[in-house]
Amino acid sequence: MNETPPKVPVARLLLAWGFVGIPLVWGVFQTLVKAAALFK
Amino acid sequence: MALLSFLDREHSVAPPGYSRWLVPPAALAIHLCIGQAYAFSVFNIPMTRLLGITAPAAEDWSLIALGRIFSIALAMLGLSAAMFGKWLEKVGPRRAMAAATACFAGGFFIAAIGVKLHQIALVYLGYGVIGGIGLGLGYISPVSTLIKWFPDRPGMATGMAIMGFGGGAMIGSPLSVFLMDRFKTAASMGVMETFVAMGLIYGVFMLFGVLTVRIPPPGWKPEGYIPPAQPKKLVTTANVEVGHAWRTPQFWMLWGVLCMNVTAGIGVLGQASPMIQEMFPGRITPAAAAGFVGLLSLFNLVGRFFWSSLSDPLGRKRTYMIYFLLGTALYALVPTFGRMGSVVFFVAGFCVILSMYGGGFATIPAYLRDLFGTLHVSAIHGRLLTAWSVAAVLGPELVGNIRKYQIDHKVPNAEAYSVTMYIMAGLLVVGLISNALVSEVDRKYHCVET
Repeated sequence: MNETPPKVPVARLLLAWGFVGIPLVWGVFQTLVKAAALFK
Repeated sequence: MALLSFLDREHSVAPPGYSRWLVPPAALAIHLCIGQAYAFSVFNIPMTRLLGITAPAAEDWSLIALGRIFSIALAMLGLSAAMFGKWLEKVGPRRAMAAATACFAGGFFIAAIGVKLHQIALVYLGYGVIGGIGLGLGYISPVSTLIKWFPDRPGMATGMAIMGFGGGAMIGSPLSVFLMDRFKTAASMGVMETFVAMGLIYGVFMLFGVLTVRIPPPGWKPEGYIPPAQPKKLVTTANVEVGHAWRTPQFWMLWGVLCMNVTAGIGVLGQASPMIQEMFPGRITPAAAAGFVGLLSLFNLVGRFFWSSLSDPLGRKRTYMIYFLLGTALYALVPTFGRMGSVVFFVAGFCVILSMYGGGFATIPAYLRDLFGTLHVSAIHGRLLTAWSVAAVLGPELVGNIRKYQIDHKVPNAEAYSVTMYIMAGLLVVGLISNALVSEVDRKYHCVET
């Protein structure tokens, strides 16, 4: 009997990582903008 | 009741085809929210003008009274993590995350009522006590689940989640400012509305974590993963119950390790802005100092992932040895960088120090798993977090009081931090010794397999 391995839920993974990744990247960007004042 | 049973451990088992890479975003959803606590200070100034609006009125709350909100929340974090850890292991991550969501979001709503009625006791109860319980539950709830899903990379997995706690302030701070600006009117600072909005936003965000998290089926292993036949030194295959774990010398050695690492880092983090301005008078503006604080937060975040991931191949004991040795050297060098007038070396030194401060938080769950097994690792982690509560008081007190003593004794402002840095280096030496004393847990503490 051939058992096909379950598919990796790519769309769900992208959605999940995007959901947490986008706010995190936004927060990091805001911090970098603030940190730029140190090098001016 | 049927809805609540959805939260049960037995209903949280992953179905076939579930990817373990969905667990880190679930954990991050919780940690990114509760990490907002570190940005609570953005509310301090607006909350001193709730009645006066343009300037504080006589009946407005003082900064000291407002500072207690954060202190209560942090104390409750340690207490609830220690108290509810065992319950969490019993009911599973989903129910614990749901409870954390209810407490954290609910805390905002109660605090909003407190602002509306101008009753600070309600703000203490809401954000401080109830929200603080949400912090503790949320902090430890994904730990053992992540470790079970990633037996091949436990440091990296927990590092990812705990990195979220560092990132939470980076989101929470600009979000709070944006919302207060949006809701501000001529008659209101917009704090009450911001609290309501944040309770809703964070509630929804955390619910995503609740709905996404799953526990692995019994006996599950990652594809292709073969547990090492000969376990690494200091890595056990046995389990120790939480009630026994805290009676072992290893628990208290790790308690010392965490406490010293956090004390050294947290004291500096709280004083970073005035410190850099006073050490380089006339060269660092308040805006540049705020940039320095932002940079430290960023390194604190990156260090959580970087160092804990590195601890997987390197070993936990060796990783902490690096934190303490490199940290000691850098703290001892900071006054020299100040005397040299080198802002670049000074900033770089502190960035590395703060990366290891974050790394210390993120590596500890995997260290606990190595020594005590996976059975009660969240609960043991919860009890160990009392070291954080102690350090949160000790660090800022040490830095603040030593600086004050120096200035009272006519030491110039630029030099006032030198002694503090040497004391911080000394604390890290104590941590180094504590880490060196960590050995395998005696077999008498291991659970008997049934």
